[in-house]
Amino acid sequence: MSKNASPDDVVVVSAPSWSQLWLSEDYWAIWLGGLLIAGALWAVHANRPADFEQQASAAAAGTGKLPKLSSPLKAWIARPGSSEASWQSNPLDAIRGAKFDHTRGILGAAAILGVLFALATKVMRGSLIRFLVAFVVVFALATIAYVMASQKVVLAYNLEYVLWALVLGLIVSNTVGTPSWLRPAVRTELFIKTGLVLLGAEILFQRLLQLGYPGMFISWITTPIVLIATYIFGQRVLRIESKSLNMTICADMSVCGVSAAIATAAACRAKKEELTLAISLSLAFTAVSMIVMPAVIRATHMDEVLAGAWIGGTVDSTGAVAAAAALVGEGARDVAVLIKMIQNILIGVIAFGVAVYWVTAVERDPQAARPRVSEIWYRFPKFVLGFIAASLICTWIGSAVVGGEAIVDGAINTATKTLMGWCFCLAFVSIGLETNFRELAHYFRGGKPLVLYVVGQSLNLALTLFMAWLMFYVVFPGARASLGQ
Amino acid sequence: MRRLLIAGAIVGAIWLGVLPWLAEMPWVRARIERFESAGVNPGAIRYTDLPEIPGALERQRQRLADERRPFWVP
Repeated sequence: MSKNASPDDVVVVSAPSWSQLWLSEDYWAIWLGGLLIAGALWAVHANRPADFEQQASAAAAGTGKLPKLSSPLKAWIARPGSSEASWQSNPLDAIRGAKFDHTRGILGAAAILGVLFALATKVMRGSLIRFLVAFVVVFALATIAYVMASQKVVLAYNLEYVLWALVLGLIVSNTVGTPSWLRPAVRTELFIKTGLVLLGAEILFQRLLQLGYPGMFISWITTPIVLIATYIFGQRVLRIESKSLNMTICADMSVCGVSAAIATAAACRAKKEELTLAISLSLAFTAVSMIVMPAVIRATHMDEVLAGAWIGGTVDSTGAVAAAAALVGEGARDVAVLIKMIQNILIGVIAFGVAVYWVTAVERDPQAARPRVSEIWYRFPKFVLGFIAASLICTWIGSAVVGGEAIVDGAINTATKTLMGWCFCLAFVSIGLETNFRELAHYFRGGKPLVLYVVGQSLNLALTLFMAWLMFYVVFPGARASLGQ
Repeated sequence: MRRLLIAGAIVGAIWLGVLPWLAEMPWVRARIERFESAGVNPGAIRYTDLPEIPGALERQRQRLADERRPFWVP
């Protein structure tokens, strides 16, 4: 562990040695994430119909439709409360319903993740049996968090599962205390990093151009400007002591909420409490913006294309974007979800950029000479490379292989997306189990994070609206006409 | 242990009592029904969780195909 690291960090740095390849969670996240992605792709490919290549070629030529692929893994990997499984008064409706039964899938996900994480723990010189015993309880808490998040009212206001995972962990740790027998499965770092490598499979760069230049300008020019300007504001004006807290809030607010916050916090080695604070702020403001933005748009009779771009570029959470835009209209919804999708792809670039900036500038000793490449390599969070590699490989398969897009989509939808969600849910249960309410309260003092969020989001709202107007009304009015049809 | 039981009881009361009651309130009911009828998943964390994405992508492909060479696409 480096001299500046603490056990509260989302990610910590270990001393360099070859043994890190099998002893560090950084590398294990890459091995486990890579194995899961490869397994999911193989299962979809092996399960493709006999005439798949012909169908894919016809789709590429514009004379047919790309088939939707599935895999046998789908029946074995599930979570409570997916889109069709919300509940109003009976929590079991999140697990079993008239048209679905997620019991086998939930147990399957527990078995797959439990076995893989237990093996990793064993190789990292932990106890396999102790891990498995504790994992059953941590996984049960994660399952309850998913069930809580799928209650219809909770769902309608976008209070995501990570919040309830955190709350359940906090309840245990702040009432009876986290028992020592549970600690072997409290592996925040391993769960988060593995989830992020799985997230890499969804960062498909070929989708970047879906909305052409307007989409790129609204998502890929405005978002980094807001992120950097807000970070500088936090450092120079508010003088926020923790740079990692400042950066995590900025990424959370400007990119796409929870997943951006997790990726950035891991890349800049934020503390667990800082990640918790950033996500809490984001969820609170998202619930408000879901109600206020459609009302403002209706009151001002804003054009649907412009409204969709505004919502897609500024509402933090992906689900809230779809919900808020649906309240405006179908045209707004298409534009909003596509803008958000393009912005989601930015996470990989942001996480990589933040990791490089942190090891070369923030953590650099100002008195020391310029850091050597070996020093940068030693400090660089390696799982970020797994995350980028997963993204590049899936992008390549999706764009260069015949029918590759259907194979990658199949792997994401039948396996990696759900396993990623479980990893993040387990990570937030673990954060709750390791966090004391009093430590958390310390970060809220002074109100600087709140001011940072409000100022940053105000800039985001103004700049995104201006950029969307510039793109759709001034530079590319043809795009607005086409999208508005 | 007593504090854990009390916290558990509060969580249970909210999720099994208050929230189901709130879900019956007309303004909440209308909001939930609107999302359900539009096929929206407000709890989505990633774009791949959104049921709208395949349809939106398909409609966009169609728009681009219809315009032959739209000048606003690189």
